[in-house]
This record gives sequence, C-alpha cells and structure tokens, in this order.
Amino acid sequence: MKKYIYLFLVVIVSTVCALSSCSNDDPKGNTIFPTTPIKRDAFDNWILKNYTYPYNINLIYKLKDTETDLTYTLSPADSAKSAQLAIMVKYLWFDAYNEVSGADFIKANAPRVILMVGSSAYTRQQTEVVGTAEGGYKVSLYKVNALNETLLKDYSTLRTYYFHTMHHEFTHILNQVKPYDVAFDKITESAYVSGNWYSQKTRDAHRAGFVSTYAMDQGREDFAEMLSYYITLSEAEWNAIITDAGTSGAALINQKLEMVRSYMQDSWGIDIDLLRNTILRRAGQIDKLNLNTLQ
Amino acid sequence: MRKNIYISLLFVCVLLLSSCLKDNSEVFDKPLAERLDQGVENSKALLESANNGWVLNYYTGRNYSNNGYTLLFKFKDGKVTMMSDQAGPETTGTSSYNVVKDQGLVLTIDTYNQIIHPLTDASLGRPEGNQGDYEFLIIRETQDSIFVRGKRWKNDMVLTRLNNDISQETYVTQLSAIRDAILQNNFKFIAGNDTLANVLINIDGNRFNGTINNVNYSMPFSFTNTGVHFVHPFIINGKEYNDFTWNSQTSTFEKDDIKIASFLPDGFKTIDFWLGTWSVDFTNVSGTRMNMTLTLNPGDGKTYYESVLTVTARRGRQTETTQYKSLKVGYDGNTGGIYLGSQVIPDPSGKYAGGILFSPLRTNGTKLDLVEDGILNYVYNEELETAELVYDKNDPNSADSFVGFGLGSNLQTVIGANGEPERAMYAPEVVSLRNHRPLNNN
Repeated sequence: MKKYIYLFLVVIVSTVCALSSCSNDDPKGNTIFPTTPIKRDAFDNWILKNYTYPYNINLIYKLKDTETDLTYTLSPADSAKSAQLAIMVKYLWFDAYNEVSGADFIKANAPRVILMVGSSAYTRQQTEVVGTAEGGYKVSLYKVNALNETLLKDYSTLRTYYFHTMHHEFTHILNQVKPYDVAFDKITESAYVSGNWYSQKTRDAHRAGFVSTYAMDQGREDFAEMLSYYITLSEAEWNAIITDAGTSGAALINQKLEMVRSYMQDSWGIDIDLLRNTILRRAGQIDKLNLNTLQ
Repeated sequence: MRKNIYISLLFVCVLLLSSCLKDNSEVFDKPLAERLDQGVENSKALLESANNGWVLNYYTGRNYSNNGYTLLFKFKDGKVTMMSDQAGPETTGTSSYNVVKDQGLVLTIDTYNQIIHPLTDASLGRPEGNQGDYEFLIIRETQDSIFVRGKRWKNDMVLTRLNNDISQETYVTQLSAIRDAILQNNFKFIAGNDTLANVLINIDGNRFNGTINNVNYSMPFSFTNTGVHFVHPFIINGKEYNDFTWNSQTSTFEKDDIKIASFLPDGFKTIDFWLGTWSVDFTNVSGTRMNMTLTLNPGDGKTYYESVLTVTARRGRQTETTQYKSLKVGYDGNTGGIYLGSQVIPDPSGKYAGGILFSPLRTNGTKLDLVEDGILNYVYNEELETAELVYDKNDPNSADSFVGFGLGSNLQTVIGANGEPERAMYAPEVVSLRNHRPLNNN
C-alpha cells in the first residue's frame, strides 16, 4: 500500500511540474500600436474623403524616405501644390475612369499608393526621372514643386509629366491581372531594341510602327504606350503620329491599336474611344477647375 | 531500485520546473517599441516647448566639406516656421514637420519649406545638390540643446534653444549686420600680440581657410547674432576657441586673447577699381611695331569682367587695329587683383572658323612652354601705379605670356607652313598692365 501512495505522490508531483513548466506567456504591457488619433488637417481629411475611402488609395505627400529610392537626393513636395495636383489627378484620372467604368473598377485595380515628390530624381548620367511605378502597387509623381498656375492649366505639360505615366503604369497593372494576347508582341517582333530605346529618334520609331521611342523597348511597354497615348492625345495629335509613320508604319500601329481596343473591350468592358472622349473633354475644362479650394 | 526511480523522477521534476524559469532580465523597464513611441512624444514636446524656437548652426557637404548656414526653427502642432541667414530677417518659410521612428528618432521637415529645401535641392548635373540634410537623427536631448546628425550626409550639429529675450527677426537682423560688415576675405589671426597667420574668411560660402601653428584649418562656420561659430575649434596653446564675438569698431572677431582681424593685403583693390583700359606691357618680338590694350567692362559685378583686347599694329604707314572681344577676365576676391585664364574667343578677322584659343603660357628663351590651365595673375602696386604680374615658377599653372592659337572648324589648332600652330596674336613676358584709364575717358 505504502508504495502505491509513494507512486501516487510522485505522479501528482510530476504532473504538476509538467503542467506548470510553461507558465502563462500572455502578452502584457501597453500596446505598441498607436491608439491616439492622428492629427489631420483639411488636406489630409480631403484625401481621406476623395482617395482613401472611395478608392482605397493612400496618397502620400509628406516625404518618407522609406517610400523612395534612396540613391536619389529628393526634395519633399510643397503641400499647397500637392493639394492642387491631387485635385487635378482626381478630375482627370479617377473621375474619368469612374464615368466610363464605375468606381469598383478603380478600387480593384488602381495603384494602392500615389507618392508625390517635390523634385525630379536627378541621376549621375545627367538625366531626370519624372515618374516611376513599381509592381502595380505604387506610382511616384515627381517634380511637383515645378507646378504653377500656368502649368496647371496646360494639359500638354501635365500629360507629359504626370498623366501619361499614370495611364501607362495603370495599363501594366491591368495586363498583370488579365494578360493581353501575345500575338501583339509579334507584330513588330524584330524591331524591339530593349535598353537602346533612348537613343532612337521619334520619327524612326513612328516609321517602324511604334507610337514612341519607349515603345521600342519591349512588347509590354509597347502595349502600355499604345493605350496611354491613344487615350490622352487629341485626335489631331494621334493623326499626326499616323501621318509621320508613313504607310507601312501606320499600318503596323493601327494593327496594334485594334488589338489594344479588343483587349480593353473584351477583358474589361471598356470602350477606349469613349474613355478617350471623356478624358479629352475633361482636359478641355481644366482651366475652369478650382484648384485653390478643397471641396 | 525504487529509490533510483524516485530520484530520477525528482530529477525530471526539477528539470521540468526549471524550464519555466525566466532567464531574460530586462535592462529597461519598458519594451523598445514603447520607448520609441514615448521618445517621439518627448521629442515633439521638447521641440514645441521653445516659444521662441531654436537656432541651428547648419553644415552641408560630407565631412563639413561645403558651406555653413544659420537656420532658425519654431515648431508648433505639426508645423514648423523657419528663418535663415540667407533669406534675411523678413522672410519665413512654413511647412509641416515630424519626428519619426527610423534608425532611431529622426526630425524631418517633410513638406517643402522655402528656407531649408533650396539648400538641399538637387538639380540636373548636380544629383546630390549641396549635400544638405533636411532629416536629422536625434542623438541626445537636453532642455536647451538637441544634438543631431544629418541623416544622409552625417554632419553633427546642435539645435540651441533661443531665449525669450530676443525675437527671431531681431536675431537675423543682428546677424545680417555682422555679415554685411565683412567686405573682403583677408584676416590676420592674432594671439595676444603675435600675428600667427594670414587667413581667409569667405562669406560667399561661410568657409575659413588658414594654417595656424602648423595646423591646417579648412572648415565652414556659421554666423550668430553676436559673431561666428566655427564647426571645429582652433586649438592654440592647448586652449580651444569655437565662438567669437564681432567687434564692429575694429572689424575684428574676438574671443579671450585671440583676435581675427580684417586687413587689406598690399595692393588690394575692389572690383570697380579695375574697370577701364590698361596698356599691356610686353616684350615685342614680332618685328612689327605693336601696341596692346586691355579694356575691362562690367561683368557680373563679383567675379569677372567682360573684356576686349585691342591689338594695334603699324606697318609702314598702315595701322591695323584688331579687337578681340568676349574675353573674360576674372577678379580675385582674395588678392583684390585680376587674372586671365585659358578660353576660346571669336576671331574678328573670320580667318579661323573655330575662333581663337587664348592661352596663357610661359616664354622660355625663344620657345614657348605650354602650361596646362595657365593663369596670368596681376596685383596692383600702389607705389609704381601699375598692375604687376605675379609669377611663381613653382606653381604649375602660373604663366607670364599669352598667345592666341587659331582654331579651325574642327576646333583644333591650324598647323601652318612651318609645322607650328598658327598664331593670331602673341605677347611674351607680359610683366605689367599700366596707364590705367577709367571707362569714360576713352
């Protein structure tokens, strides 16, 4: 009997030890996730109302170097000019797509982060970078501090610095979600020059069946350049490219255009002529935009 | 046997129990993330606690290699208002600011501020700009001083609390008065009664250059409302001197027994003095009677003149005058003299399509010795009333003559019949410039 009691005691003690060997390690102490509300001024609240809530987009204008390429020396954007550009981007980009394809389309496919940077990114090769996009996730708009009242009414300059890039990068995002027909890449397959695109002349690019020199880099850039130029250039400007391209060049460009058109219609239900008309109509009215009041 | 079992079981028990012994001893009473959060709050509170703001002696360029500035800040509710020595007492710039957690606590001016960002902006051809920081790692804080380090260019600097007895406008006004009182670069560094060295204080970039007691000091400084602060101290006889007070009566920076006193070197002349026409005194070896004059017209008012070299040649009864225009003559703010460097100017005769390569060089007997980046330096001599050539044969750039080589349309020198480059003009041994006539007296 005694030995059973001993055994019993030993079992109890070991069970207690085993059970208590891992005492509670519940997290304790204060939370490290901030619970005090962020102070937001009028512009910050406007961004929430017009970018974040409707489209799930984070518009960043206060420069965080974790969001930028550290090889460049960059200056932050002026907050007033950031607000003006934000109003313009909403009017010319988001609201245009909204009209044609609805808010959900943008919410699902737009870049999640739009970063505004005051200066260009100046390279050691004496060139400047004016717009970049990464992984369909973020578009960086540079040179915001160069904006002034005159430039903000000049659609052509705004297009060159900002909107062409945004449409171009957005095309890449759409292509990643739903790929385009690879037959497109074969139309001018032997004429792609990869990194040498920047030493090409625009006229030569047109005559080879490309809408720009950058389009000569590779098929996916060609596709993005086709769409972004077609919907942002006026009819006259587009026809000027077609004319400059000569007969064979024009035929190639038009062939590519048809593939872009059917891609957008079949994959996304978007009529690119309707989109172009909407954008150009809005572009014609930017001088009436009130950029000095956040509404 | 039973005993062994009991002992082993007891042993196992002890092991099991000890597995829950805590062996992590905390050095701090709170976890890191919480301390960083608290740090952000504390730093912002400290920055905003100064009603009158803070003064920063600000240095650009890696290792203090570029210019010095004085910046003033007032922080309130996420916004900062700034002033600077460059912008003057009537200009402020406002933007947002933040203290963020990034490699430690960082003070960042994160939207564009017209006071600080022009000092940090890059541009085409200058991808790093001035190497100026607008983000500062906070190293150490006390009630009145915040020790920071530039995040990109790593210069150590200090933010000092400005007392309530002086407004920022007044501070900058007093600072500007001192800066405006410095009219030229030359100073004597004096300890007690001994002049230890001649030094240069250049207010274009706020930089000091001088060798004192065999120690070379090349560093930026920044103005304060009472004088200057040098980023590194002068070490004289074991004592350190960083901050100097300006004595406007004697045009001297003073600290204890050290004086840095403004003086004009011999022959120093202000930029306006040199305007006008000078006769070029050279050795004529051409066989033709020849005169040359150099006319200096205003350039940018600070560093150069737009000039004309006029060559008059007499052949028998014929006089031929040629004017070589667009010649740039430099003004040396340290010596108060002028200098001519190598440059290409248009050829008025039209003979040389690429223009003329004006080249300072050396005459060696009957030969010419080409000098790379040759410079002809002239300093005024009051006694002789001429501008004398300053020629140092040990200085590889120092020249004593000039020649104008004709350039063809390929921008190369044109080789003449004798196998030598053709010359448009040649002036050996230009020892002085004399007979100064002011501009209006032609």
